[in-house]
Amino acid sequence: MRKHGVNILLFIIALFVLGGMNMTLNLTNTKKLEVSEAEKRVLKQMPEFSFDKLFDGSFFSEFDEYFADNFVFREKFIKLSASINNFRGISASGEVEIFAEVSGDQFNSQDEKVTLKQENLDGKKINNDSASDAIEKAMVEANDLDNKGTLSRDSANTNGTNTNANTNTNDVNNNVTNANNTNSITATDTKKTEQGTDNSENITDNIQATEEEQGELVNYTLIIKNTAMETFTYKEEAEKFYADAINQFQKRVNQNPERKVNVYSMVLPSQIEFVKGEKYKSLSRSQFEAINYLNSCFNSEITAIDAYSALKQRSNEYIYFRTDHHWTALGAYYAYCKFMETTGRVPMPLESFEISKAEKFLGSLYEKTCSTKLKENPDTVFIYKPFVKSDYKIYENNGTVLERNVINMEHAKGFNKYLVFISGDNPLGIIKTEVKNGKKILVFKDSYGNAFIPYLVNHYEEIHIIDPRHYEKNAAEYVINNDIQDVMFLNYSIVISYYNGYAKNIIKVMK
Amino acid sequence: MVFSSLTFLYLFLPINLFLYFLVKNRTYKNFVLIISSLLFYAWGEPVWVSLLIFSSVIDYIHGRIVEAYRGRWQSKAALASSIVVNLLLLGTFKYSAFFAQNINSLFSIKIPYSEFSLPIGISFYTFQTISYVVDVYRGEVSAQKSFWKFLMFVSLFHQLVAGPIVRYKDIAYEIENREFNLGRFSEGISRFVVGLGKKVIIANIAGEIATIFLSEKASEMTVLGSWYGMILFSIQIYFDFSGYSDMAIGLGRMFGFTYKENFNYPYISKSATEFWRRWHISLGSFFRDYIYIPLGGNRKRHILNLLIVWFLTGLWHGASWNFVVWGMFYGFLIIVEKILMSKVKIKVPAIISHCYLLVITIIGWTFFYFEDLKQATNFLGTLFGFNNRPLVNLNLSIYFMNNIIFFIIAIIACTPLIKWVKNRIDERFIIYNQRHIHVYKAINIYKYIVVPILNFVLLIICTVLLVGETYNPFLYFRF
Repeated sequence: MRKHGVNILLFIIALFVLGGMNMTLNLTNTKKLEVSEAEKRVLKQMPEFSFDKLFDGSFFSEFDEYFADNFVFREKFIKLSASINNFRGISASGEVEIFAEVSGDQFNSQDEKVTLKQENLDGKKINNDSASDAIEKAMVEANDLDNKGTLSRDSANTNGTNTNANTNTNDVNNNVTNANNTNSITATDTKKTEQGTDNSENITDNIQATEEEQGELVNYTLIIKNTAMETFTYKEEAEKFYADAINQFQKRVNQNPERKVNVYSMVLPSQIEFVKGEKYKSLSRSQFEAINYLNSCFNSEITAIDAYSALKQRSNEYIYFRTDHHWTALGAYYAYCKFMETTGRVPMPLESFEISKAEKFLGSLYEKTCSTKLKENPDTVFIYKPFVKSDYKIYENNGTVLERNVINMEHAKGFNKYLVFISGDNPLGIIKTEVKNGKKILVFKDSYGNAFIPYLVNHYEEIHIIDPRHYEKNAAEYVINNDIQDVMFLNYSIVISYYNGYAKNIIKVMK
Repeated sequence: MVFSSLTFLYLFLPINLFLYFLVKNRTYKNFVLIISSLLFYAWGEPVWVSLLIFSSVIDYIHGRIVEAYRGRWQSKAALASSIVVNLLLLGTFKYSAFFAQNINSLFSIKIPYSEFSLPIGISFYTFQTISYVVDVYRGEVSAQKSFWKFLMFVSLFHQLVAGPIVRYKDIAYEIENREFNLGRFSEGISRFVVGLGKKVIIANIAGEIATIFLSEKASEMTVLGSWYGMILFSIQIYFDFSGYSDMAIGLGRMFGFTYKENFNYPYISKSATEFWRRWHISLGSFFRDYIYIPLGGNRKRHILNLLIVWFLTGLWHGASWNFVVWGMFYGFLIIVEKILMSKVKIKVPAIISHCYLLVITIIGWTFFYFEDLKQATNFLGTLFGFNNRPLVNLNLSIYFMNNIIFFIIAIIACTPLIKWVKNRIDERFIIYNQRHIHVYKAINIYKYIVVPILNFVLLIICTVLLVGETYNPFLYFRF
């Protein structure tokens, strides 16, 4: 016994201690709703028992996820696992690391992408928006209360303003449950893409998805010294698809010859375009060429704002975050200047802004890579506050209206500090300002737009903001009904460069 | 359920061990094993657990009939009927869609077929039950009288879903007479933990990297990138499978069963023939004992027998032509090797035969990985530099350096180096046993303190990595 005692004892202790803790923790309190801030998702909840789920096996697979997602010391173990992974090799010449991910189109509309479809206790469904709203609230609450983002399922539902059962019950859950399993993710995505094509056929008969070469796009994230950046590649067909969508939109809103609507396109290069060091250039294709090609596909009525050259001139400055895939407000400022100049206006000088700071920001690329180099060098979010007073309302798809400040400093204390800019991506936001010049602009944007919008506050009476991934109504009619004169399409080059998902969203909001 | 899941390690296994050692009587222990095995199976296949039980009932009855009528025609009939039923089960659930599709496209007709989801482990347990009835027929083992014990043999969760293919006769004695033994239990733990480490630390990471290089578009691949990807896939599949076998063998030992070894460092082989004596031994020997030798072995129609066996070996791995190509590829090489061995008497330097084996394994795995044969041949084109792809790119060199320590460890773990060192230590142990008391003590500390601590650390690292795999951030969620 003495001889083998240690081996047996250690094994039994590990199994029974960790096992016992998990059983008491996860099998007794199954009602909790936990949010993982780093992952921006709700942790899997205990599946509800039903014979259907039992027989098709989903009860067991969901239980596995529940058990893993709520494992004791999960956050500590995740960090530990990242440090174990550091031992896998050496960063070439001590400064470069690369992370790869095989993933499908991540820029589809929200319901195709995220899942937070939860069944509530009554068996009703709350839709994506309210669930994600609940997450956002939970995150803010978590910061206030420092309660680690835990809240009961019931309160999530109340926050989520219980709504109509979303008809979108297709297998969105799969997207999350299988997120590790790249194959199935891609499978779902292809299916979704096909559906997308079907839907949009009637208005876009000249836009066709091209046949795919076998294989997947591998997204690389590169860490050079302490700066993370996504690599870039593009397909001309995808650029053209996007341009055609905007061309159509331009025609659509300019059907009345008496009312001219200006349409602008601004595509922002991502950080890797300006990487120092020739050799890293080979990792990425030229965004300059991609953007030029895109611009050549626009019809003559569309004005392309050359933000590229403005950013290129300033590429030595802090115009991109090092730990996040976004640009900084300073980068957005230079693009704003270019927009003003192109449209014959004078931008506000940088010195005239009051500056706030949110320090120790670890962004999305840190979360993706868990790199210690990034962790040791967090970003600072600089905020240039608009000086005109404004009133900002967010309209959720479920009818909820939220009042926020354009600069929402509550998020400066939070986890994702980039949310200080217009509180993140929402289906529709309207800013009404005290600039009483009667000018109205609608900005279709991805998250790059968030840092840009605050500068417009000083120039427009009304700023309408639509995120085409989340907006569900007809945006072309919206432009006409609200008598909007300027429409701007603003996004970073990666969302439109390879897949058609983002552009399809624009087609979707034309219908 | 799979062994390398948190649910298995920290819910199923502790409860199973607790109950198993709580009950004293072997009959009750058997019941604990049956119930937990069925639950283990139901975890992945809640419906097909009925198929498993059905298969057990059928073969239990067949075994009894074969024995009761030994030497008479009924015995032979029961044997035939058992084989037919088992193959029908396998055919229906695994191959019906494949056959129907092929016949349909060949004769352009429309035989209706339904695509069953493949019941997990069916390929393994049908082979186990076939071998049981055949062995009873051959008189190599007597039929099991108790249905419950037979059900326990078929459903035993250690080897149920991914092998090794355990023959009834190998554990018949232990089903009736196994005793608990601390030494064996401790050995089982060590073996299980090592297997878990192979799966979680090596196979999972190799798989993660391999996917990146193998799923790229052909127009993005590089020559060395394709080698790197396929080498990592070779590493992944070996450690995945042998890790799983190790865990099965380890669990068996903890509960008092001895399963035969399933892998013996296949990648150090010098020929395809040797590779298959070291790779998935329980499958190779099944085909040898129940198909190749009954067909006549090397005494008559030798080449044809080999072709049949390798066709079936390929098909067994999956209902798709690429697996058949993979099997036939080995069949072809083994035939060529046999002919060359008998005709040419030149000694080939070992290094060349090692390289030969590694290259053909990599070609083989290409057919295994790509279900689409066109994609596979295209990939081989890149691999051997015919597709005008660059040799290397920066992605690859950074990636390679970022994972070089892992890569070297994985390659070393493919060789018996660690085992060799361990054996040297054990030899010392015997030599110095009596005479040098301090060496004796040191070795005792190593064996009974250091190794257990290493096992413990390994288990915790695996757990940490498994939890780490659940980290699943959404980059583009709402911001």
